Amino acid sequence: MSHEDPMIERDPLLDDLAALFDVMDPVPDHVAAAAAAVPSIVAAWRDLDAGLLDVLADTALQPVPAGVRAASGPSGGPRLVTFGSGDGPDACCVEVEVGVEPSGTLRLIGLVVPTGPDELEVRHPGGTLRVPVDDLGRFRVAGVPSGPLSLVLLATGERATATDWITV
Amino acid sequence: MIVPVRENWLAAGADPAPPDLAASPVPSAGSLVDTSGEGWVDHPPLADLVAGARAGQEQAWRDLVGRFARLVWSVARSHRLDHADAADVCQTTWLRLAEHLHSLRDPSRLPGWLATTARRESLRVIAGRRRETPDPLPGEPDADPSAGPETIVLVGDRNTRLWKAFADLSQRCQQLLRILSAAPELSYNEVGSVLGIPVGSIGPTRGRCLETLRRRLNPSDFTGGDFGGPDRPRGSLG
Repeated sequence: MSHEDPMIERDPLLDDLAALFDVMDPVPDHVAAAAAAVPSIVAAWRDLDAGLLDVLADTALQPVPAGVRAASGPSGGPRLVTFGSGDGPDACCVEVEVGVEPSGTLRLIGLVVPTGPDELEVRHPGGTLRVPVDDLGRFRVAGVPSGPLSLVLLATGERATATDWITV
Repeated sequence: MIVPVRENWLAAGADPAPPDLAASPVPSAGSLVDTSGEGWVDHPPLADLVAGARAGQEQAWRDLVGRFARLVWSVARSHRLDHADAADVCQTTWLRLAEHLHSLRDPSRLPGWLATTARRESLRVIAGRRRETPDPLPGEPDADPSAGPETIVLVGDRNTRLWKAFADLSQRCQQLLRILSAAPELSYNEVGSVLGIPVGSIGPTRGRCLETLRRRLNPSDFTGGDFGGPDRPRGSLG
């Protein structure tokens, strides 16, 4: 760690900058308050299966091919996010296409593999949206607010499984 | 030593994965310092806060947020996100931490994990927002609504000049200096991972950026060759 390394002096100018940023671009109060409230948001899902489904792939983070302006959008196709857990018989995967609605909210169209969950819940800091998952594992959610998001898979008689949080 | 436990962190494209929270502990300094308005302040050991937060103690979580909110915000803002997008990045980062806190065995890795997670979410937002706005360049220091002329008056003449000199730096320098100023506890390895630049270039870049900033701040100090500043010879910066 840098402050433990005797070869690296903390330049006082960095302290001046830190103090200046605290005045010119401080952490907004509502941002700090939202962060402080995070445990209460997460606590609403105490019954979740222990393992989160991680983000396996997100086209938003993939390198943009030459000549294409962005990995997502009209010129580069929709953003596609894949969540999943390890391997073995319990391996699970959710693929979601993220589209922007005219109003600015988001529309999620996705597929759960393997089938099993009957419902899917979109959790976000302001609440949840619950939609059915059909026999083929397909789901569609409209009116999703942009910002942090996690998906919860609900199967009758089983513990729910959630994905990790991601910004959309 | 990096032991991948959540292998998925390693599978997310070109962006570096956050350091593994579950890796075995390394010796740590016991207590950390952070730059607040009051200068360098001693804190309770990070391990105590993490243990408390994991046990559900509200105050311990609040203390973690209090100590690192500035770091997370700075990473998002140094990627030129506007306030709304930076707020989203911060919230996702803290939500992720809450979900992963139980697997954190080495608290000294927390600052790097937070910074790397915030960077990754910033990159997601930058790519995502391009769907809607072709030119995502908000968040310049002088474009900040909270940093208007009234605010500048309050910080005094030297700080006004420092602010303007900082705004004139290259984007790369602004990003590096902002992260370094906000997070003295980050190692160069962690800073390199957060910014996606080779660790070997951080020391020289840091020295060059600070030198440029100091020269623009006090042009007259540089005419005589001895500017009396605290800068170390570049060689000592590694």
